[in-house]
Amino acid sequence: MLPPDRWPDVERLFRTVLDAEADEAARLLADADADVAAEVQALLAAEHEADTFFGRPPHLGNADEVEDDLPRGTRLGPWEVAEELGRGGMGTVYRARRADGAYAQDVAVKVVHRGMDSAQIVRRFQQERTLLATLAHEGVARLIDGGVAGDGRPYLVMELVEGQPLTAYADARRLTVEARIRLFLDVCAAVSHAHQRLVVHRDLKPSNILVTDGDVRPHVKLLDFGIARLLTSSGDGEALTLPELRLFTPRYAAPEQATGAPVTTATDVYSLGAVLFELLVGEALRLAPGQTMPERASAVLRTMPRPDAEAVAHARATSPARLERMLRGDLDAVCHLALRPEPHARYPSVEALADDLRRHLTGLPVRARGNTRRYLVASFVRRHRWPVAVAAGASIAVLAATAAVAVQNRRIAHERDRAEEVATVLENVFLRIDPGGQAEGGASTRDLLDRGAEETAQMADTEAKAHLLDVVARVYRALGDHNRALPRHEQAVRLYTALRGRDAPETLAAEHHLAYLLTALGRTDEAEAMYRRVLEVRRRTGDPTGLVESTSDLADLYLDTRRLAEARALIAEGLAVLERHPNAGPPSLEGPIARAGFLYQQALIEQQEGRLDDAVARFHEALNLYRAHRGPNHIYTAAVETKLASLLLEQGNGAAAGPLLEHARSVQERAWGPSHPWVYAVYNTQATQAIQAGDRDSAQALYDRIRARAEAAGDTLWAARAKRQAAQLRR
Amino acid sequence: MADVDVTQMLRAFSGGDAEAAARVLPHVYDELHRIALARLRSERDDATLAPLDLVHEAYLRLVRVTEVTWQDRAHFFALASGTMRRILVDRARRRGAAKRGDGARPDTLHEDAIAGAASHADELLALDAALDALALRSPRQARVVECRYFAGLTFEETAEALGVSVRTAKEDWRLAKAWLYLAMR
Repeated sequence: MLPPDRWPDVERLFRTVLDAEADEAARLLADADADVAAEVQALLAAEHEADTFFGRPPHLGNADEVEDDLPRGTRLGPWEVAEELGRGGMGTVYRARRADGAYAQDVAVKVVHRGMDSAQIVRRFQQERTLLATLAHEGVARLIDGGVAGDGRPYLVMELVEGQPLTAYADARRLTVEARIRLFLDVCAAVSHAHQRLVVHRDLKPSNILVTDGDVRPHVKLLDFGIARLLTSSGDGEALTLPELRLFTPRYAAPEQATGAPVTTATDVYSLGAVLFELLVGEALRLAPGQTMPERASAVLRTMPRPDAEAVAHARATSPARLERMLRGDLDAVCHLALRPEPHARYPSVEALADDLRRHLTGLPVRARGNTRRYLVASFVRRHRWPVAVAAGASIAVLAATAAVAVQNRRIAHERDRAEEVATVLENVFLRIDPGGQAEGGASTRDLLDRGAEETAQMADTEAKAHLLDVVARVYRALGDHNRALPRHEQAVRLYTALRGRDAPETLAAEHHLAYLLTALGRTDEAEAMYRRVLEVRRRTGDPTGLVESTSDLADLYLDTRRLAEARALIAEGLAVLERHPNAGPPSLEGPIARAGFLYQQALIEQQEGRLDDAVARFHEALNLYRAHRGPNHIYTAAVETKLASLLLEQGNGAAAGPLLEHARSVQERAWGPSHPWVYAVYNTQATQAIQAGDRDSAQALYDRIRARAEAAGDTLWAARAKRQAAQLRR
Repeated sequence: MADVDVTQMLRAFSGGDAEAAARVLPHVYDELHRIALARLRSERDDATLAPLDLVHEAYLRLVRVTEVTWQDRAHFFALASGTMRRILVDRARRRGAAKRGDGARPDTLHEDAIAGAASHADELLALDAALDALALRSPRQARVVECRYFAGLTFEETAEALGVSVRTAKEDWRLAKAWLYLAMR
């Protein structure tokens, strides 16, 4: 090769040749100095091989400090070490068994590396063991024992899991995207279980999520739950200062773990997002210039055509084009929301993440995509696979009509169920667009609905029309427009009665919906009569879902009219139905949620009867169900917490009410923003709590805050109320 | 360690304060070294790590990411790339010494793992020497290789960090890697 002083010539010729066409390049090389030309030609010829060399990342090397090996046969308390299974950042894992045979199965023993602060870790370990021992979930590898080895290093004994890491398992079996999501949902269930017991994993990654073949379906097991915390926190919950002890795996670690900000369940949400991403696209999430992590995830998910797209698609039993379509949209949005840098901007819980994925699998709109109208329509169309013409300006209600007609024509019971779901979705959609029933952006929504309603009126008298009338009426009711809802409910009942008979399930459902509206209108006598008639028929036919709906709504009516004995009987009846049919109940209010609803009603009764201790216990039961099945950070969960807190205050138990209110406040504020009646309601209860504690200043501040926010938001009702309360306080 | 604000210095550096680099680099080295060791422990038989992972981890640990721009980040990664090279080369030297039996105790790993690691080590040492030779010809082109190969920077980031156009960075990379490959052969 030429010496350094000839480099400018080499460089110049190389660059010129790069730019030139082939014959021009040949001429340039021929004209140049022979030595320089020879070197440039050699360089050009070497490019391909050079690419191969530089295409491989540099090799960091192998561990040459293997100093903490435990030889086979070493005793750790009652455990005898067999072979090494692997090593991680914090320790080495061995297979072991009880030397005295008292425990038949092999276990995994993790011995932490030398040099960790053993005394502190051991102390921490004692404290945390009890907590970790409460994790009894089939998806979580159990912590069995722990102690200190002869050389002073602490060790943990865990259930031995011999499976494959999540991503490797999915690839090896060529699982489809859907199967991958289902597997991932099992992971979410295990994590969610731990979160309910206040254990955060902190180091979720594919190699900590092992999968084995089950009889029916694959079985997921999470390793090292809470271990990172065990090994990284001091007794009082502060992070240890030694940097080595801030253990996490950067690819899957949330930003707050890197910055040392508090780790919460949201941290696991982030890691799950990173794992989901990798499971879907087959590559780990990496930061790219100018992009945040969520942006990066979206960019990859949206542009699947990559060099390895064929291989990635093959491992998912599909084609690159199909894979691209599957990942773009919902799943992109789900990853995006899970990977937000700010913890509070992510899914509020793992359950919420799982819920969105389940919605995606059933074709419901995912919450991560918000509620833009175009998306809702797209999702609606996708969900109902018959062709739907999406004419510009076609209203949701018109689409619903098309859907309903198709359903009715087919007369397939299963499809009919789906049509019922459609109604629920639409109802929820409108409620969500317009949560307070007020008109923010409501004009366009209302436009759509009105147009849909008009078109419905033009339809011939078919079941499809009856169904659609019922849907439109429910949506109007959800929007608070009772005047438009009422005639349509009545028409739906009439039409169904004419077409299907008085006691047909469809007629009964429509009539029940009418009764529900009549309750809201204060026409309780008529409502009661209707509810009762529907209930009688449903009792006769033994329709569990219908019975749950009837008993709970009629019990509400009795609660409102203070007919407690009758309410109590209905609640008992509803609970008994749920005992026999644990998943009965109308869509989105079924099973455990329905049960929680009955318990809530029961608590209200007990409260009114002055049996406050019973009421508190019942509220707790309901609250636990909400936490488990709606998620701890669901607005309804928070609403029950607020209700329970006011009851506790009534008992003078401000200490117990405080944390509940604090949690409810954060949930409601996150869900609705600072200015919303539900948020004010929590503040209001907090003010009561402050007054009880003799802290008038705090109460005053809370009332002032409600007033300021309500005034700014134009909510005169709450503003006036807060003003009045503050004035009373000063007297 | 806690008394050095890497974020501050990084911003000073990308704002033109060359001194700041001198103050930051020792911490980058320490951090990268620590991470590399931790990773080596955890990846038993195949420690083929994307260097970007390590640098990224160091970045997350040292820099308050919300306070810096992507340009700052590029500068950090570029600074870290030279450090990454040193760490890898230091380790390769030690491994080479171990293989030749210069006082290091034998490894418990498999024979072929040793052989594999050793050939990687030789490769790295050859690259290191070739890079020094390239730096005599064009320091900038050597830096481009460091940024790309040892810190996994993109062309855009490399260009930003070295103050050249993206096109120049791309041409430098083609020229430099072909030359290095020939020089190592």
